[in-house]
Amino acid sequence: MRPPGWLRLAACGLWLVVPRASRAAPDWPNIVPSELAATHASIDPDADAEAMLWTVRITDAIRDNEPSSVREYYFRIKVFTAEGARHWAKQTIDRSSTDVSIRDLAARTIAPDGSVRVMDRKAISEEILVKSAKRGMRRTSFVLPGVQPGCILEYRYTEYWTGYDITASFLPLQLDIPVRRVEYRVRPLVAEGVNLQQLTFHTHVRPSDREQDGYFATVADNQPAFVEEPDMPPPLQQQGFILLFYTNDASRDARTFWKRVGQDKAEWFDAATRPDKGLREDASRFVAGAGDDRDKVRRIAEHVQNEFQIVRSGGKDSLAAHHLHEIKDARAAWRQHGGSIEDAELAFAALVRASGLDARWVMAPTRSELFFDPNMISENFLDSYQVAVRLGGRWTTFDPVTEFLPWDMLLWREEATTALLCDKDSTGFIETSWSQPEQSVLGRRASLELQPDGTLEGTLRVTCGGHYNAETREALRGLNGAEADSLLAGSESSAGVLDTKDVSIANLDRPREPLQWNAHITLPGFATVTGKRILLEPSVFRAREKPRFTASRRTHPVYFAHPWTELDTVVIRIPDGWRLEPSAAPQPVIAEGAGDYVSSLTTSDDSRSLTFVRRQRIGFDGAVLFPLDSYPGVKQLFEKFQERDGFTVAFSRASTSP
Amino acid sequence: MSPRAGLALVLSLVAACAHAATAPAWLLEAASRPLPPGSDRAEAALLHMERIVTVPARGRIQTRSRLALRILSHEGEDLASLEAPYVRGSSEVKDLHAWLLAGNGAVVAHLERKDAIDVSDLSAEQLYSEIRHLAIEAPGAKSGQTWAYEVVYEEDPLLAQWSAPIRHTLPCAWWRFSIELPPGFEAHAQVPEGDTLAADHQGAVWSWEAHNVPAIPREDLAPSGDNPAGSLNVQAFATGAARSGVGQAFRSWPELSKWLADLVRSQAALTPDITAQAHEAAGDTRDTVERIGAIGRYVQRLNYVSHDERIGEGWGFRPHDAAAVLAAGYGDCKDKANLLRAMLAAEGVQAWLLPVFSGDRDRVDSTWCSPGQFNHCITAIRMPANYRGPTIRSDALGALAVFDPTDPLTAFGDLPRDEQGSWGLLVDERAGGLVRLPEIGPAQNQMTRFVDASLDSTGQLHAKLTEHSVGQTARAEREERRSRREAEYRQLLEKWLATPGGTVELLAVQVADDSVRGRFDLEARYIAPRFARFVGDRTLMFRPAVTHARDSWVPADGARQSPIALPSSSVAETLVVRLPDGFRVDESPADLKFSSDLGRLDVTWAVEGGTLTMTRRWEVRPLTVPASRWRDVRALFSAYRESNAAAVVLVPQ
Repeated sequence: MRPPGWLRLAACGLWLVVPRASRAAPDWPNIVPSELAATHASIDPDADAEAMLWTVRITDAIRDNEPSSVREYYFRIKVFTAEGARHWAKQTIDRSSTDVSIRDLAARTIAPDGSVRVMDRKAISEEILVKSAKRGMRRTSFVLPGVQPGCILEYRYTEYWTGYDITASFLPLQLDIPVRRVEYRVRPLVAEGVNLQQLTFHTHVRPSDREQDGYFATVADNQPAFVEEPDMPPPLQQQGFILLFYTNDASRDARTFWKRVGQDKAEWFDAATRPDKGLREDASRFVAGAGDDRDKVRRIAEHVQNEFQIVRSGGKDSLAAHHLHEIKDARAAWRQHGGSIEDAELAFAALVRASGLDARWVMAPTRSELFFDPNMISENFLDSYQVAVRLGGRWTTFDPVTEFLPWDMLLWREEATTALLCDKDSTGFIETSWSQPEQSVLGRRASLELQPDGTLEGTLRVTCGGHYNAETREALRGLNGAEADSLLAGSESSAGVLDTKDVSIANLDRPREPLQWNAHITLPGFATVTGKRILLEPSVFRAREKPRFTASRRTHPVYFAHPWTELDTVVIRIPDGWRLEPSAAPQPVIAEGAGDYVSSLTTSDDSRSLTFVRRQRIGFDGAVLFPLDSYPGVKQLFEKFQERDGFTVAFSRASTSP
Repeated sequence: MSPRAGLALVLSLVAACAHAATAPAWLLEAASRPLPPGSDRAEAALLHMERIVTVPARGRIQTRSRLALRILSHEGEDLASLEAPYVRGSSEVKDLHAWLLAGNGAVVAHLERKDAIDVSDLSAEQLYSEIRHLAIEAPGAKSGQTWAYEVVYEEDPLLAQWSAPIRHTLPCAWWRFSIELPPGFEAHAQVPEGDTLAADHQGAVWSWEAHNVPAIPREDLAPSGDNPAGSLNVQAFATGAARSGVGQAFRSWPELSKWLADLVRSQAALTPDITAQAHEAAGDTRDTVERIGAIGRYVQRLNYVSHDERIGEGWGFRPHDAAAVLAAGYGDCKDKANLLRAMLAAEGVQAWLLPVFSGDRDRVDSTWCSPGQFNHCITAIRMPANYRGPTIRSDALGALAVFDPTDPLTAFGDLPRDEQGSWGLLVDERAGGLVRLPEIGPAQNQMTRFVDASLDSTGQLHAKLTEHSVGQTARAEREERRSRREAEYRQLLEKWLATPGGTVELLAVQVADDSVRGRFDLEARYIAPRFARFVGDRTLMFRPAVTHARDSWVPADGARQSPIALPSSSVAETLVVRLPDGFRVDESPADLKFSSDLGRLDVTWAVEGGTLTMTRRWEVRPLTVPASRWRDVRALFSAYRESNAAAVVLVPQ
């Protein structure tokens, strides 16, 4: 996060270490006997260690026109296992070489019998981790003496910060071990027109109502260890933390703040996209004969995609390399039919306005790291943009200038997010558009020959649509042919031992079209050959998958990046002398509001081949976040999918009866 | 901010420092060379790789290192970087130049020492390290460009030994090593078997050159590629009266052993604290073997923290004083081995340091007498006559037990798997030398598994799994458990027990971990709802090998170039499944027997009174065999895979 404007202006100030009064080393806080006697963590009995107390006192100030901060840390860790002892015996503190210094580092180990071993100064090491002409990083390492299971470790140190990094601080409330109590005490700097904002995320805290000695306290008790799980929201969305930042905006009220931001942006947008004659004429031509307003938007978006040269690296030099100029508004951008990504978005908006539709600028967040909430009152959280068009009485958002997506899809990380619709009079938050499972189809079509030894061999075509198209093309970017082949072939490795050759890629030169790749594949011994039968799972590409969710209990919600559909068509040629025993495709699975699975099994007229089709969809109406209490249902749904994918058919010798 | 993030941040500054210049003649010549054979499948190709060593009669040794590579793909772009290592206090990078050339040979960027960032090699387990490197990344390197650098190092002489790997992960068009020695010295070289080097000797300069060196293939189960046996190894010996100005060289292992013994002699002095701690750790038992084991376990429990200093003076091979290590309560491998030596001495037991290479049992070259071959240190202990564990044999010192005090998961009397069968250096002033570490037989590393299960008519399996592991198999199980929280361990078991396409509900898990005796027992009760699958309406099919190896490996098809280092394995399994009422076995797999010098597989099946019993004995011997045996390796592992896939078909009675 960037510092607010007033602090950037103050950059000419001297960098000084905050003066400190010398003082005697403080006593260590008292340890109660029950802490020494503890044999397992109170929050999680399985934990290797537990932070019994973790305090940080932050004193911010302006010294010689320079922001500075003194941060006093104290940790008390109880170790329960050998793994905990190994992990916690050595500690490191990394920091900027130039802006942060450390003093008063002390540590001690208290054995279960109460005996104390104080860390020797020789057990502290100072190392320059990285050094360049302009900046560097330092590491302070220290080893606590005699750490064994049952010990309590205590260590404390003070950081002295100078410079603008103090203007925004990420203060964690969780560790990878449980925390009984974490306490932050903050004394903000005092400067005219500057406010400290504190946002607390994803845990319950007790903020103090009034200051003590100028410090405001925030306390969190009984914080569980933060452990990541598969298919969870981004870690920052789940982890408890405090964000502190200084702002020169006086608004402490979210509504007032965002109203002002939206109005400012709306004025800029209105001026930048006001259509001129040229835009109006082109827009009129584009939408002539359109069926409805949505069709008008589609036509305009596709014209922008096809006719506007988007320079994605931006910047004056990059534009110049494409014989384009930096321009100020959509009119100029459209005249030169080229520009930056933002220029293209503005040109699209201007054409929409020129066609008679209502359009607004939308400041959008991305949800790849953190889900936005309007109470997060900083423009830095809304770091992307879209264009909203009023269709059928409601706002629908578009971003047709993405590199690999069709005109009506947004980047997955911008779908279904809370975004700011910027309007002079009625700025407010709306939900951005979202895609349906059918818009991101991963299609596999295989035509395979079953051999009497159980080997499957034949051709495979994989089609990647929508978000799959974008993901695959991003992954392929810059790879040479052999690397691309290897990447694509590896993507289907869950089928088991898969030998792939003759990989070819189609549609590479049409970035918004679904990418396709074809290959000749061999799956040695895929089917099981018994004495009288060949047993085969026709859902070849999913039958051998391990379960997606195994844990009976879960800590975090289930989250997928985007809705998707898998559509597989597998045609299997039956070996001569064998016939398919009577079989019926599995029953469908339908989970309202979440996903479904349907399949079919047919045989050819001559009974020499069978065709298995499966379609699995997840994320109806953009639903990709499943709350924790719905986990059993989600787990069960995927188990049902897996059960269907395990569907097995038998072939018996044509001359015998089973 | 993590150090890695910081590094990336700082590296981004490098681009701004780049400026054009003229490429030196060696680079222009290198850039014009044709690509070596094998480049068509490589992300980059080495055009030039050269080391020029100049050893003065007195003073610092200078090494000039040159490299040029052609970037051939997007992945190869990451290779356009340089890490120039040095040891603070004893060596330095005197000069550094790097170039990025366009396809036409024009200089795109020229970087110098001032453009580099200085990075510590401090690892998470180190308190302090003198080892650092200068790092440079090419700004925006692209496929088709040539990346090159020339680095000049100067170092205080410690060892008059140089090891230059000839083969690399990239094919190389031109490779050269040369050394200039002062008067009175001559170079002795060991050239790897099978490599053709053109050797030359002109006055004081010895050189070796190779063209079109193929890349080391990237293959599973291959010994490490940069091993000394695949390198040109050179030593400088005095021809006349010995002088020490150029560093140490060794004609024999005992000579090297004596040098190390001199270096470490003063570090294990007995103090009252050491004696007291040894007595306390040994406990009340009067059995000497038990007392040794108890002291060994005490040292194992000390935390591992490395604190290397004065590496340039040979202190990288020298442990810290045992009394200081005991007082601090932590140390690295040689510190722990040395403390153990001191504590055992306090008990009247003689012990020796034993440097080994951890991580690759085939790596140490028994013909190359260099301390640089070892990366780890363990302890050899003279045991009383009643000791029955594995030992090494020294002609002068007799049978000695070996113990790794750094590995807290391996019991006394056992040895980490990757150290078994490897070479170690027994450090003793008079009787030291290279010794072969023991190989501990399959019986001492076995897992015995028993599954008692019932299958119902819906295809659901109720099972109780019992595993007893010993030795290094128990160690692996122990690590798997201890490195995870209980919930994570349960998930691991659930994933492992789930047959492909199936799920598992774990009802209970019980673990008994006896690290003193080197045993690990697991008992799990679970339900697998879709263990057997219906084929049609009436036929049930299942694969009885419910428990395949957690890390089952399938050997790739195709030609093999590298030797194959087989991972030892020994599992005896019995599965008893009571079949559902109303069903009978229509088909069951045939017994399978496979045996070779590499290992064996015996699988039997029996159906009696509604119960199916499968027994399987799987054993892989810890051998390293030539590439020509790939077909045999595949046959062994394919048989195992076949036994995993074998199916039983049930039909209604």
